[in-house]
Amino acid sequence: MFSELIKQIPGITIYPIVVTIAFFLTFTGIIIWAIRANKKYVKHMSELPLDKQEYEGDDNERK
Amino acid sequence: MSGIETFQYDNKIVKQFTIATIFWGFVGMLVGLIVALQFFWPALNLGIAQTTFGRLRPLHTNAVIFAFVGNGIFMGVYYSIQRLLKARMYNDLLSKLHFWGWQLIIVLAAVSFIFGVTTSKEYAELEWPIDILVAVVWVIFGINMIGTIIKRRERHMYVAIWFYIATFFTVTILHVVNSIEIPVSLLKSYPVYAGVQDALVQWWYAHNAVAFFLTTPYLGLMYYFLPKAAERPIYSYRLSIVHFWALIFIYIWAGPHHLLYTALPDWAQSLGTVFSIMLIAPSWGGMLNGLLTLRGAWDKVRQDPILKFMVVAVTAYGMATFEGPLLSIKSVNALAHYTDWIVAHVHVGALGWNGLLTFGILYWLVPRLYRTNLFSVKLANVHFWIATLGMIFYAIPLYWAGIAQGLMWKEFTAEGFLKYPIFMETVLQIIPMYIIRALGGTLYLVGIIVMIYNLAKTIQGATCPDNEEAQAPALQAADGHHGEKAYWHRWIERRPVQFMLATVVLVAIGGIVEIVPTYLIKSNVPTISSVKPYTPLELEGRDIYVREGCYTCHSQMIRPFRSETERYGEYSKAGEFVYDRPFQWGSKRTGPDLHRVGGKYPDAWHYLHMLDPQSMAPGSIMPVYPWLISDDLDISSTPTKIRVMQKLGVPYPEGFDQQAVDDLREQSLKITASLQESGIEVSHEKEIIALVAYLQRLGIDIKGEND
Repeated sequence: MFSELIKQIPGITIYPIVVTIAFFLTFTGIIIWAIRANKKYVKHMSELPLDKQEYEGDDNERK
Repeated sequence: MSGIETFQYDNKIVKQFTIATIFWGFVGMLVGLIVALQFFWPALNLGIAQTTFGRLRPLHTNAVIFAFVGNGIFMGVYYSIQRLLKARMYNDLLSKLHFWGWQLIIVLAAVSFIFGVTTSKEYAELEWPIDILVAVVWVIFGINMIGTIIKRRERHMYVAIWFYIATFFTVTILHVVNSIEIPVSLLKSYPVYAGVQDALVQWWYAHNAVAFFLTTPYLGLMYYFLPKAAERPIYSYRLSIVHFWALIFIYIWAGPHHLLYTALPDWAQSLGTVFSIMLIAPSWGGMLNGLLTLRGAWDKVRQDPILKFMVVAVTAYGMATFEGPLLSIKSVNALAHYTDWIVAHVHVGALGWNGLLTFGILYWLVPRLYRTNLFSVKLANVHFWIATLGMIFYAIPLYWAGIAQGLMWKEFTAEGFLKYPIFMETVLQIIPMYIIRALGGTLYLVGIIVMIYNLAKTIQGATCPDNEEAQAPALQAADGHHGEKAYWHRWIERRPVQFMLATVVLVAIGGIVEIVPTYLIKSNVPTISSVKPYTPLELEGRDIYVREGCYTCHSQMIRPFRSETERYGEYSKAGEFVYDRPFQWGSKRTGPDLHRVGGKYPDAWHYLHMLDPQSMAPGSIMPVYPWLISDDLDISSTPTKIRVMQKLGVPYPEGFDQQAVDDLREQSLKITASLQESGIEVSHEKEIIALVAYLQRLGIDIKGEND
């Protein structure tokens, strides 16, 4: 059913190779970006969950 | 900074999901304990269809995955996303529809499984009407989440939210692709895929359901709640970015590792193995990121049960994600597959990673929602130790059982014969392990009861305000201020829509590359001329096999090992499954493989075996199936079934749907006559006749060719 449709795409065998290379390059890009990311920005991001505005219990037992 | 805005977080929806998480956690694990007991106490099914292992097992797995962990995800997402984005959920009505819709699905699922309404695709057993409902409710959740992201007050999206987004989109794709089926009636459908393709799509789904339902959302929760509980930021935010992208890139490709040594094409198996081994890197990156967050704070871990739960949860994640790739190595898989090793592996993930992380979050969250303190830290510590012990008592016996039985299946004598040719011998050997496993499960459940008591006492007399006031400045238009260089990643993460598209593209490519070639290359499934479609009676028998969940204990896939061909017969070929909708390869051999059971025993053997398995196989732990002998076969939809099969390309002759019932009757009379010869009087209209017809057909198509 699908196979007839897919076979009509010219040069389909090249697609997986292109995709693999693209994946590899994108991933390398992400690593480079992560290493070079701005310190201030990283600090801001990592502190996002620690917003103190909300209610904080004192974690002690009630009795 | 201009205009501080005051708004309210929706805590009511978080509270509702919290209660649902606790409730379904108890139910799911109680059913788990009941099925665990049936492994050494088969009479516990009470001779009733609705309480038999094959029907309760899907109930247990679905309840734990979609009811317990599902509600746990929504609890954590609804709490954290509002605070991370400094915004109330997009729409209260959508929140409400999401909550009640999901609970309705769970109830419908439970009822349908008990009554044998199932597609038999593991963790996707729901029939088509519920599948559609799942899609609708899931999309409601997605709209609600994305809407919140769009109206946020915090410019940057914290890494937890990326995990939530990836979860939403990937689960949508998985659910839709794996659920394409053609209805026969309101409660029955056939998948559009058959045999090998059906198996590949199913395990691509099931693997990624583990990845994107049990893992990514929970990693998001870890990235939010672990820093919260430890009161310190995550160890490395940079590592979390690499963790996220690497996981998304790699996970989606690893599905075929569930089908090693099966009739799946070899290239697909190798792809699964390679990507599975690569998965260790991001998984362990994430685990280390979680554990290292606690560096210099281990004194806190000694005192705080919440951190204890989280540390063991993250460690269990590390163990399970090391073991997964290990099991994907073909030589390890050859031993472990179909044994209890796999069951132990998934329970390290479910009890350890999902269970303990959920408990940690609950102990942190409930007192905060109710503006009070935990009733008893001591009891929480007790829960921690019971749960940990329970896990150990659960997992170790099953590792033992799995390896012992796997080795017994493969052992030959010096003369070259199977040392344990009788399957039952290998079962009896591991019964004590099943008993200890049930003890482990009991301990874990007792822990939950302790938690329920502790949390109930905590909220006694306290109230959870529906809304919580908060303040934050409105979001300014992005202007690239601070004179920083605009990196592409910050660009993309300020733009949720583009970010979502990127995730979808990544995930879709992985799936397409994996699945499409099985359609593309005809030689992937070589056709075998002697393989013919099932007769109407066999088809009905097959549907009974599916309904009773026989696949939960019996495989239909003989791997190409001498130990298996000696025991079961010729190994399974891809071309033998072209009419199997759905495929029934199974994933566990509590009983023997059935692919070549056809013709192995007389009809009377099967009849008596279903009535009382122990009479035919002393020591058997298979439950009794008396209802198959007392209930009439429903043939009202037989013609429709034939028509649906024809639509799907099964070469029944034209107009066969009109002859199907006559054909069925003729074949059932033959089987009844053969039973009569053995002194068994039974009406030809009973369900057992159809099941016997199906079992006797299994695997015989290529026998003729070889003779």
